[in-house]
Amino acid sequence: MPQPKVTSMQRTLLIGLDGATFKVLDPLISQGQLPHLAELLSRGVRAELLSTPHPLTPPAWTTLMTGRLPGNHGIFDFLRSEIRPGGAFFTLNDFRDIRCETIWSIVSRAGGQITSLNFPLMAPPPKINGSIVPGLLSWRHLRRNVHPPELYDELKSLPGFSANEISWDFEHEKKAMQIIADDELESWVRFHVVREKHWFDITKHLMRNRPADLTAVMFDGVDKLQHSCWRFLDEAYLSENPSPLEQTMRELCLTYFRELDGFIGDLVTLAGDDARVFIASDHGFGPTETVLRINKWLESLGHLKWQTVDDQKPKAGHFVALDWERTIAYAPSGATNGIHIRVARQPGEVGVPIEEYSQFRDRLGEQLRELKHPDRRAAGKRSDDLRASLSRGRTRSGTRSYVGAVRPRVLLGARLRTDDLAAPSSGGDPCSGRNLCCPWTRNSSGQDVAATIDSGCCRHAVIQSWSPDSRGL
Amino acid sequence: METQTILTDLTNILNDLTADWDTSYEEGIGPATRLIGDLNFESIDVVQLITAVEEHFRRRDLPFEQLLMKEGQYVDEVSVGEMVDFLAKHLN
Repeated sequence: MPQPKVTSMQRTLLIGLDGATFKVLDPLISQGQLPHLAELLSRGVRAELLSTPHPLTPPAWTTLMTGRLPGNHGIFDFLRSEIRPGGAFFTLNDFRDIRCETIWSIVSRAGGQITSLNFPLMAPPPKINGSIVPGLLSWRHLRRNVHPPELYDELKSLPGFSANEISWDFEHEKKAMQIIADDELESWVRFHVVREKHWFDITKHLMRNRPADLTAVMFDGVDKLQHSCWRFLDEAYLSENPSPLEQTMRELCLTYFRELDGFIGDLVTLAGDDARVFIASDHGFGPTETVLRINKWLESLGHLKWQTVDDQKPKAGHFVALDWERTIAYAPSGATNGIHIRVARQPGEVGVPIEEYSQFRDRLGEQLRELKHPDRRAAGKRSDDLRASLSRGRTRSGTRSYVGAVRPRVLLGARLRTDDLAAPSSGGDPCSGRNLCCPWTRNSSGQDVAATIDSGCCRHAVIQSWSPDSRGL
Repeated sequence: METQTILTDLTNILNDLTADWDTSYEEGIGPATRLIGDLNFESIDVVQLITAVEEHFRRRDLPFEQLLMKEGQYVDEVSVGEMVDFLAKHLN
């Protein structure tokens, strides 16, 4: 039956704030730093949302775009891996891997116009009514992935436009996942202030010149800042006597949020009084104090074997280098925050036999729940135990995924580093990260707290929505 | 599909892909052109090239690991000619 065309749509503005959390926003709002957000809150509705079971940017934004969970839309991670006879082939998920219809094509199919800016997995762009400028894309490939094609030259003519500055730089991103040196922090934050201004300018231009029924823009600087600057944002970690660096960084971070607040205010004004406005984040954020090297743990269980080439240890990279003939459970990357279980569907295939899969998965879950940090073993506390939750789904490669969501402050790390394979230390701190037998490490800087990912808080997504008829509620 | 046609298509894809880059590669793209050594490809660019090839030929089942990996390791370099041979083998 043909879908009836909608004759009129209420103009809608969606502002995405990657990683935004009330934990950071509320104190800033109380201090008067974010007047526009404060005003929107005062006449709108706010709530905490559950993120996806693995609270990560690609699955979470895809869930927002589709209204479906990862088990349905098929996006679990930045990467997807396909284990072939020649080895594991890693590539990035893209739009073609989303198995459910997105809000962009739903609106387009109903006769509406959409604008989608800086959302992940929007390349190659679908052919919809409206404009798409994908996020999570290198500047080198931006022109070819903007829709419609002529839009790129139009954006290039905007004063100050820089494809380089609005795009994703993989080396920058890699750096953001590590500890950024103090002398680079300031330029890192300033870069994101400039970057958000570019996206704001693009959004304004399109709202004025290519107006859409649904305009959506995602500001991901929030996430980037919080990765490296959490200790300057979370009041629980601010020093009583801040050093000059801490004072500078705190003020710079506040500058970022004030600027962002201004952009939000301007966009809401531009959308008009009769527009419906949503602000949403994809996941929350928090401090990480401990890293669990999950692949080391899986190795200790005999489920994983590292690759060696000519007896040499593999180099650190974006994803793990494993012996695929002898690995049946693994975490592909540092962002996976879970375990992939390989299933053998045919005799001779490497993996857990399909008839044993459920039992294997459940047993792995029990073992995760039983896993305790060595420092807490003596105290007998259970409060910091890992908890596991299941997200069952099939990736494009067919592997069934088991995702473990851990408690806050514990990050499941999977990035292979050469020092992870160092010989056991002769003594000292068993949690130094250099003991082959111990998968627990402190953050790589040695600090008790570093600004990294909240891998377990599934309740910190922010959504506020209001429309003219909800004012005053 | 004839090898010459594949070479022409792949050359066009690469020219379009690198149009905004400063590769300082002054020779025309041909079978001997190396993706990394000559065109300054990074790993993410190879991913995008694969996407562009898949979209152009409307095939998502091409076993690119056979071109890009050897004995479980990613190769250090790929030439246009090697890619053409790979496509000729798997598109036909």
